[in-house]
Parts: sequence; C-alpha cells; structure tokens
Amino acid sequence: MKAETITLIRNASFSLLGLLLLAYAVGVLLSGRPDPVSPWIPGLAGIVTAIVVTTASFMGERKASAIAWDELTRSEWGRSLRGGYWVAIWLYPVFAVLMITDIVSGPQTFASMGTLTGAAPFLLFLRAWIRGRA
Amino acid sequence: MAGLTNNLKDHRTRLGLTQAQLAKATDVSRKTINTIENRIFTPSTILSLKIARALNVSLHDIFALEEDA
Repeated sequence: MKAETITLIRNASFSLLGLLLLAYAVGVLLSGRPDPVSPWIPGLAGIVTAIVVTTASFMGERKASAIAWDELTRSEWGRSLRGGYWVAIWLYPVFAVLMITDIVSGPQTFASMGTLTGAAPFLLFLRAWIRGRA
Repeated sequence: MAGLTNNLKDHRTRLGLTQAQLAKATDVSRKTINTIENRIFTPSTILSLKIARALNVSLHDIFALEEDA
C-alpha cells in the first residue's frame, strides 16, 4: 500500500470518527436524552477507526507508513491534540452554564461533553487536512 | 523569536525536481515539502539536512534566519 493511500485512509477515518462523535453530541443536545442512538456507537466507532488505521499502516511497506506519518503529520496531529485539550477545558464552563440554567441535564452533559471531547482532536485534524497540512 | 526563511523552491527547481521527487528522496510526503516551501512548516534539523543532501547544497544555502535573509 502506498503512503498516499495510507494517508487517505487515516485522514478519512479520523474525519468520519470526528464527525460521528460531533453528530452524537448534537443528537444528545437536540433530543434531550443522553442516548439519542445506541450509546455503544461512539466507542465502537473509535475501536473500528483504530483497527482500520493500524491495519492500513501495517499493510503498507514500512517506508510508506513512515512517509504517511512523517514529521508534518505528527506535528499537525500534536497540534490537534493540544487544541482538543483546550476545547475539553472550555467545555466545562460552557456546560456548567447550560446545566445551571437547566438547558441540559446532568446525563446529557456527561454524554455530550464526553463525545465532544473525543471529537475535538479529530475535527481539528480534519481542518488541517482541508488546509493541506495533513 | 526569529523565524526561519528558505529558498528551497529555487534550489529544487534549479535541479528540475518536482515536489514529489524531492519528497521521495527525503522520505516525506509531498505536502511536507510544499508546506516547507511556503514557510508554513519548519522542518526538523534531520529533515533539513536530508533536504540539503538531496539538493547537493549546504544547509545554509537553503535555510536562514529571517533577520539574516
């Protein structure tokens, strides 16, 4: 498998995971319940993504995997993780306000904060991909 | 803090290399070469040395501190 193919599989998988987690969080907020669909879906999607990306990386030659995960990619992934950290931190005051004002319940907050925290680095990596940096 | 500038594109095109060819010679993706040329991404010392070797020039011929450029 070529480096470009591994990159495409990884970026597409990460993007789909980020969007799915975001959709779940939005679903929680819009439906008013912590499980708008099966609550196993976000976790299973994460595991499937990990399997797909790892398998794709091992199916290619070692050199192709190294190119797919070259220093620009590692730098952008690190940047996405750091951005995700700050998103996670800022979710606390945002959801504190939402809970205090009875806009969302505790279980909803737990479900949406968890999935948004998971989604953030993947969505930031998607942004890097769109901008031609990953 | 001083930024890093480069004239990588000049050296690459002088040798008639495409970004993809230089990327292959240095074991990175074409995007990495592109972002270095556009001064979006600052490469590591190791990658900088690999690029200089692939282009058969000194590191100082390609990279310089912005204040010295």
